[in-house]
Amino acid sequence: MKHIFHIYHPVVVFLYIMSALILTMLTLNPVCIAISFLAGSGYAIYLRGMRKYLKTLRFVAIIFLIIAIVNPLFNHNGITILFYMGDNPITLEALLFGLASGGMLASVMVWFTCYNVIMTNEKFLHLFGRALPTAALMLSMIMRLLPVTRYKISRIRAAQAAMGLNAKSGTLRQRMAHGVRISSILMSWTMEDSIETADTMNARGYGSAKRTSFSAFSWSAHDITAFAAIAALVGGTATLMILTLSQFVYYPMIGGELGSPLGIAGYAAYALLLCFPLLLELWETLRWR
Amino acid sequence: MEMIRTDKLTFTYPGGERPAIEDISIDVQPSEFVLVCGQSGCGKTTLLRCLKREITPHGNLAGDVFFHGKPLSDIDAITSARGIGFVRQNPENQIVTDTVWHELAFGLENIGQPTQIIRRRVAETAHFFGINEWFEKKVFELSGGQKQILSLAAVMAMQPEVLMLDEPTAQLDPIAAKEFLTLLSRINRELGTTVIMSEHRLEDVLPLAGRVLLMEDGRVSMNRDTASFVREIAVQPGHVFNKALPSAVRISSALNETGDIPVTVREGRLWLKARMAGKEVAGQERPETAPEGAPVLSAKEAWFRYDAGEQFVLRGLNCDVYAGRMLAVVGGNASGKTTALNVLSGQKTPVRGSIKYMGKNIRKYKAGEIYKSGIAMLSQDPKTMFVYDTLQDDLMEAAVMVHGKSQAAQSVAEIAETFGLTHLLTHHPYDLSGGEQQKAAIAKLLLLQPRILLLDEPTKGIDVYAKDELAALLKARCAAGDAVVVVTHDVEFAAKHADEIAMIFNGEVICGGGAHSFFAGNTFYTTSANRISRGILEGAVTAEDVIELCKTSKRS
Repeated sequence: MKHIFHIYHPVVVFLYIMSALILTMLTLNPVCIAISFLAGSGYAIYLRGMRKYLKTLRFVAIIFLIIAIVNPLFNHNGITILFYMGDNPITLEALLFGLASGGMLASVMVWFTCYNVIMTNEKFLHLFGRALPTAALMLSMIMRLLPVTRYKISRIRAAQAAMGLNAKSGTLRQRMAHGVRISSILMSWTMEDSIETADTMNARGYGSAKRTSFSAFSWSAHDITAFAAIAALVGGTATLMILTLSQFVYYPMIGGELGSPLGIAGYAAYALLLCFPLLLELWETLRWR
Repeated sequence: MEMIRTDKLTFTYPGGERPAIEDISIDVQPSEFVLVCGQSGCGKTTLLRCLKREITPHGNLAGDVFFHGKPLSDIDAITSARGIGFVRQNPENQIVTDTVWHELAFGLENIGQPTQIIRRRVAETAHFFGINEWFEKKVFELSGGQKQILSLAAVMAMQPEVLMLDEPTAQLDPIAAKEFLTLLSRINRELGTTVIMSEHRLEDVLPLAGRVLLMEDGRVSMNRDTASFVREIAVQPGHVFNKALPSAVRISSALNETGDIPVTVREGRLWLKARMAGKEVAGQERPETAPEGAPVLSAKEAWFRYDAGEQFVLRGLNCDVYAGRMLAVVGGNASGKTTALNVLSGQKTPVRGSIKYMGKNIRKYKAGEIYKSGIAMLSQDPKTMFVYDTLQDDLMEAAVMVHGKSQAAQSVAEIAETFGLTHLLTHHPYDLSGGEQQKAAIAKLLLLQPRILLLDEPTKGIDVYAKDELAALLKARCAAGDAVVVVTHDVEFAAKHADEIAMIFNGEVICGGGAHSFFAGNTFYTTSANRISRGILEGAVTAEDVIELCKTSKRS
């Protein structure tokens, strides 16, 4: 499935996803965390499908639980003591803070899965390729090598298994020896191939002049509109966060208002910002009805 | 003025006893299509590489190469990079970046073209080569044929005046190879680009070429326009190169034909029709022996897919493998041929149905048990089999597994002798040629004393001589009572050497039986000789069949 951000300029996509990530990381306001997690999950499901999302969620849940449990065990700030564990007081504030930071980290991870889908390698190269042409080319070459190497490993495994040398069975020592064998074959094979790749790079003039960096992207009207909208939402959300939302504190006791009018405006701006691409998709779908 | 000219070009590799190419003086005119052919190791690749400065191998080069009348060494880097394009054999290794569009732009970026020009060239090129549909794909998602077309397009985006190709279709399946050659002939005819190409699959290439250079032992032994090349080689039926020629040429040459020599299937048909007019056709009865005994390996209703939720690759595969017979599994790309082999070898377990080895379900054997003195499988990349620095050590490893330390050295020496690998035992396995690597990998497998030999595309990238050697080795195994299964795209190989055929389409064996009757009954999926003789001579499948029938038929 192609998502709508696919056609947007890398700067727009980068602005959006970086704002989402940074704003998520900066706030521990529980409502903001909930908004961020829900919006991130919604977008992740849209982009990657429920199955892959649930797979990520399993991992995310473990991290969330660890932080939520570890924080009250080691952090004894806060005045509302729930019970004692040995000599250590477990406080309500530390428990809530643990839940909030766990939720924050969980949201960040969910947003990173979205990042991986929408900030494609080409988009990244466009942003940084001009400044660092060699690094950009290297990145592109590495991105090609990864699947090739994965494929080679599977081929070597299969060929070795067909000789009765299966890396999955045997004692630990035998399995380690098989692992070394596989990587040794992989090394020779990859080196051999890279000589040919180097040849073909030379043949196509690599190093014959100062390299330019080509990119298939250009600015169009929808990019400018989207950029302005996202920038405005980021500005609004950030201002309101500083003014009200970040007033919410956990230590020494839970304090700050969650539902002030200004705060609600802040939540609305934040939700609007995070759901921006989903709203674009919705609008696109409605237009075709 | 000629585009490229060489003057007494001689090249010796470092440490080489004799030159790899010797005393080569050729000239190539603008817009010519020159085919360089000859046996593996005759110096084709070396010659081509010496004509492209950036990839001229290290060694001792004597004589001169001129591009537009100027010595190659005097040309500036950019003119040299864009003026002469080079496409190599392996589609995997000549792609540098990770996406199709970036690959097309890569060369232009190297020579410092501005974005606006690159944008235009990339678009033009993608359009000419029909890449539009997969323009935004990752390179890894492409098929081998698409990768090779991309390599060609990426070179053409730089607008070279001369395009050189070193066996560009050797790694491709026949359909992809034809598509590639069609594009190549368009480049030559519609753009007027000069093409110099080495190739051993002549059936489809010879009709495209305007001139042929035949190389033998590093020297150019023939340099003729295609028509006279064909005429000249046709009067020498015993010529060592005869085997590699298109079926139509081989048939007419064996029958001592004079006059116009047919090259394509169409010309072959017209020629054969004229020759057979008024003659009585001796029908050819070819008795096909049925396999005897119980199958040693069989698949029954095997269903397989790589992941839940994905398409089934095998849909009820039924297949029997008999001792002493060679079974060729044929079919198009992505038809499930290789998967069938993986399932038969017990590497993948079917989700439904069963695989029986020696009458017992393959799952009931202990891990690794079936691979010693049982089933051996040769993967498409023989390189996956070699671990050590010399072939000797690699073969020893396998020998020790089965024969024990005391016997191992002797069995290695024996097998090396049989396979003609003795002089290569001290070499690094990677330094062997494609055909030699293939043989070495099979030798290593045979040291495990398998009863069943499964091979995935063993003829890929090797020339007709190496193919014949391979076939002889496999037939010897059959004669010794082993079973051989070959998965192949190579229709001619299957027709000539296999006992039985199983054709896989959409994950199941849709037809099979004796090799001869299978190909005699097909219209599209059959050998050139059969297409030439269809309706004129009945039941001829190989060029030898046609020659035989022509000789025995009498004037009525």
